[in-house]
Amino acid sequence: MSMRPADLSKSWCSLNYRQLWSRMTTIARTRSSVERYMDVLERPVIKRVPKLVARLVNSCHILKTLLLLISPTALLAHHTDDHKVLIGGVDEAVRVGAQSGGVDGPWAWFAISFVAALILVGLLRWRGVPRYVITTVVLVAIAIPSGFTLLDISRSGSGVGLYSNDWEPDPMQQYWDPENFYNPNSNIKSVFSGEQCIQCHQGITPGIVRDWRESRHSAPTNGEEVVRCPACHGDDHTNLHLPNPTICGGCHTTQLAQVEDEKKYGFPSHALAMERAVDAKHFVDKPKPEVLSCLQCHSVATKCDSCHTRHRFSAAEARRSESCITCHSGTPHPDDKTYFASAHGKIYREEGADWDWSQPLKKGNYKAPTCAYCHMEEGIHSVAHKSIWKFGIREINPNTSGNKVLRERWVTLCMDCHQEEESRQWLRGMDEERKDAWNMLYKAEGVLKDLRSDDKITPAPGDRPPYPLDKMDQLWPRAHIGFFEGQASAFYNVSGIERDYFEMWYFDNLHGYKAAAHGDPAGVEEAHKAMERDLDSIEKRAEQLRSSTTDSAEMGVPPSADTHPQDDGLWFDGRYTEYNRETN
Amino acid sequence: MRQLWLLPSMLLVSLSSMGEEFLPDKVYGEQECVECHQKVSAEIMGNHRQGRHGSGSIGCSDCHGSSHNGSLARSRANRSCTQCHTDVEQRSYETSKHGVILTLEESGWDLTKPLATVSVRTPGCAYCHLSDGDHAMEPKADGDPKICGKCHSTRYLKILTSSGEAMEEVGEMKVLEAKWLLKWKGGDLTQQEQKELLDSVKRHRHNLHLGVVHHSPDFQWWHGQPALDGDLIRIRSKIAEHRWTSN
Repeated sequence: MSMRPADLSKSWCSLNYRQLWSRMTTIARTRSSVERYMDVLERPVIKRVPKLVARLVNSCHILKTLLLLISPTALLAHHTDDHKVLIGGVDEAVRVGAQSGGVDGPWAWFAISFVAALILVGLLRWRGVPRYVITTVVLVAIAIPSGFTLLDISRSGSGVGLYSNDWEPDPMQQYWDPENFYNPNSNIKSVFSGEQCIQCHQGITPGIVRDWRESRHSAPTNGEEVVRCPACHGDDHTNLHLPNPTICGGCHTTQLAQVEDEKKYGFPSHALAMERAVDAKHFVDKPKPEVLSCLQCHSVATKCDSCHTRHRFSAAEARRSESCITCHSGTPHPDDKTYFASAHGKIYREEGADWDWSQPLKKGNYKAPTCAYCHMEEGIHSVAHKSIWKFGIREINPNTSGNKVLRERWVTLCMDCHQEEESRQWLRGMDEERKDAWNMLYKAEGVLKDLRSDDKITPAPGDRPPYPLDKMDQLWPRAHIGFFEGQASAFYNVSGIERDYFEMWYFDNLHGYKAAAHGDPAGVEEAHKAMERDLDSIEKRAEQLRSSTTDSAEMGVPPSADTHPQDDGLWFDGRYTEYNRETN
Repeated sequence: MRQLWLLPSMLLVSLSSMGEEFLPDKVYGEQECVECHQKVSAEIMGNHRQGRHGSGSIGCSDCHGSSHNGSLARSRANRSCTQCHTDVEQRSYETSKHGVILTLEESGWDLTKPLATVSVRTPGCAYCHLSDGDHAMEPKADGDPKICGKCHSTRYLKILTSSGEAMEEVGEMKVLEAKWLLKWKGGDLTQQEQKELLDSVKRHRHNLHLGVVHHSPDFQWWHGQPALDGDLIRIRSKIAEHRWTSN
């Protein structure tokens, strides 16, 4: 194709769709013009653009939120509840949208967007709008429903969740997520009554029968019927089921409704815990026996006995703080450590054993609050209904209209025992603690992102196993830094400095947050000191990375080796790393 | 004098516990225990001597106390084990669901009865590690239906056990990877550095093991698997750092 030089002198903005296409193809095919454009790209001002954009995005957190909002799905779901979209981001919006659209959410959306596009096209044609604008509108109209259809396909594999096509469940998963995976597999072929079950199981598994006998199910207090085995497990032994919240919710309707309602607050929450676990990229990527550990805690969404242990299912037990520590302990969420270090926790430890735990979690019934007293006041089965700071894993604006409502809920609760002003002061204290923590975290994040811009992260993302499951990452290897880029899965197969930041963010930062939230000032101080040390060592390591080499490809290669850097296998080889690359 | 009120109840307890009623309520020395129990319960004594406790310096009174009064109940209580087995061993158990239930309810249990009769709601240390009164405390197979079967189905136990084994296999792969890295690529590292890195790996591997056998998700995961991932990264970074400095 011959090229008319005059074309190139015309401004890009004045071209119509066809002219634009012809110019693009011309440029692509003509060496000289490609070179001309390359020259422009080589100008120092232009070369700085990506870095400037990166800086701008990093420093302006409002922009990040805006980017999320611009996403068409988020915009569509926006009408349902603005703060939920803000809190949860795009994925949450999809969920909220699907819920408000009922079971056929995606298809309803398909129809809505299609009709909307038709109307828009008509309007635009009528107003004489250029054709490429109309084309864009049509493309967007096609893209949105296609996105939802793809989402549907991605959820239809052997696993569950967004990556259900990429993994097979481990046999043990049936016990953590019975609704999706339980396989009854019993060779006793008969139908039994409740009395028969008990008679037989008294001999086989006397422990659970004894537990049941001590439960309220076996001796209801207000004239209700006795709840025997078949009520929850079914009576056909070849087709037994393990109870899930829906089965329990058959009777406990209020609690089930509260659990369902919790979903609207997004994650972190109990109700969405399992969904989020299986949608985590590292869950899909890692060998299933390894990540089964995750499901034990995240099964709080799929079973009720995480808190009300079987077969006694005691409310009194779940009111005690210890019942939460199986999951709420350990490095990223030392809820146990920080609560027991607080004045509340100390009173509970000293005197709790003597309190009457059959009482509901209401004002006046307890001398000091337990986990459930504050997070599930009056027994409301939703821990997220007052969740402002979102576990401390990402920065939030604590004073949005939505969060102001949540703050009032906290103040009302604290006022069971404390003065109003005192309660507000604590919330402000939390804001301050978060501000300090995020100042340090953003500094560290900035150091890492600068390193990334300058291609100084070592080993570079292309020189190590790819980021879990990320197709984009294989095409365009990239370090994932910060919450919005998926830092939560970037704790293995990454460079030392990235892991350092992960630990600072996920361990020390969250420790600080939990300590502040539970009233453990010594814990806050300890955590912030640790964060200072982390930041310091990240800065030092970054300096080292900058000064130690000029070419990242040479890193990690012994001076004597004259092979290709990757052949050394420092970051690629090893029993687990290889196994993980092949197994998920 | 203030403890005088305890006397009647102590008498009652000692009278009601079988086999203890003939004995004077006094404080016994370790030697006295051994001399008498060689005759009355030779099997248990032999068992104890073969085990790690007996071959070490742990005697009868360390768990049973030095009086016959409530000696069995005392040894069945978790406190008798956690007075020595502190730190990760205790934490990994206490954060399991078994441990949580025990913490909340143990004070209400009648520990004068043998544990295996389902007189307790959940297993404590002794329930599993001394099942059948095994004083040698041989390592128990995880998920043994003889021990766990009073509450859990055989199929559940089988799947749980093999899942635990697979979980530990993954952990073992990480240990092998760490050792391999240090051996073949860590030549520049000092002995001290190598030791520190490997110790951390071993510690986290042990946490994982405790998490699996005590069923503590927290120890399986946060103190185990991702901690081992961190160890691997630290080993690799350290090796790479040495290469740059020697470059």
